[in-house]
Amino acid sequence: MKSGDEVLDWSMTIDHDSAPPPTAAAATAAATRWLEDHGDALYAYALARVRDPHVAEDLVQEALLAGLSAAGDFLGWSGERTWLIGILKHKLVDHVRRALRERPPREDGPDGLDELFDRRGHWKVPPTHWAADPVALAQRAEFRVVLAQCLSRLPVRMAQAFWMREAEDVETAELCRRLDVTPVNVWALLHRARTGLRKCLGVHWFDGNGTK
Amino acid sequence: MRWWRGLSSMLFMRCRRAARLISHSMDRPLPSEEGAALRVHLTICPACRRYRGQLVLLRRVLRAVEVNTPSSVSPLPPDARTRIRIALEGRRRAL
Repeated sequence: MKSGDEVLDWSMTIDHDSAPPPTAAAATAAATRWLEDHGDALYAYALARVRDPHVAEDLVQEALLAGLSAAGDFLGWSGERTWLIGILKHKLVDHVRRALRERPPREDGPDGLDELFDRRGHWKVPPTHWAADPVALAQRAEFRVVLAQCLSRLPVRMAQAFWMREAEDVETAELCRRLDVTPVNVWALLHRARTGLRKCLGVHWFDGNGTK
Repeated sequence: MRWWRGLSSMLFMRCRRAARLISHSMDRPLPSEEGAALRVHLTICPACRRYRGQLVLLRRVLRAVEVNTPSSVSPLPPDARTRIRIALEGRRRAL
């Protein structure tokens, strides 16, 4: 029952035949321990995605409360951080979906290509060759600072949808379903995010003043 | 004349259109005509090939960052920790 794939599905039903149901006190004790053991990891995960510390704190709380409600057989199990991160991911998606519903992205907004091309559709400045080992680059602290700054310049919802697509490898169809937006909307959103991030990292890292 | 329009759009795609299609191709399969036109353009345009290389590199870097997210950079603030603990205790009474 606790194979690798299934542990991520926090809404799975609990098999109560295999263990006695936990008491409320035991469940709360476990949840308090999750807070001690995994609070920082959950918070860092949420903060990297929503950027607003208060929203990140609320999401951690929501995730732990949801975990407490669903605890059951998960008490004391060593894969609980993965399981809790899985719950947190659902809470993050709910958060982005709410935000997108309140302020839908514009399909006709500028996509950042105007400044790259002349009126005949040719590159004003042809792109350079970016040579880097992605894994090594991802581990460099100074690059991560620049990346975080560049992501923070994108509209928040756009950055979050983009992160799910690019970093978490969520398929576009799945992204549409999760965020309740149309494919055309999501393609435009991702395209604009990609153009914006590429420009910022070009200026501040790859094509910048020798920071490589 | 339709065949000519198709052929000319394949042979004379502008870089601006190619850039948009390169990005879209990372999120969805392009319709066959657009996909073919983009492939033709990429074989003759080194600037657009480099652009595609840049976008692919960005994706790889972000995937690598996702795997290596450190948890020690931003600890949960103490007041938030206290508030969450109280919320968990409150839920206990409700259980």
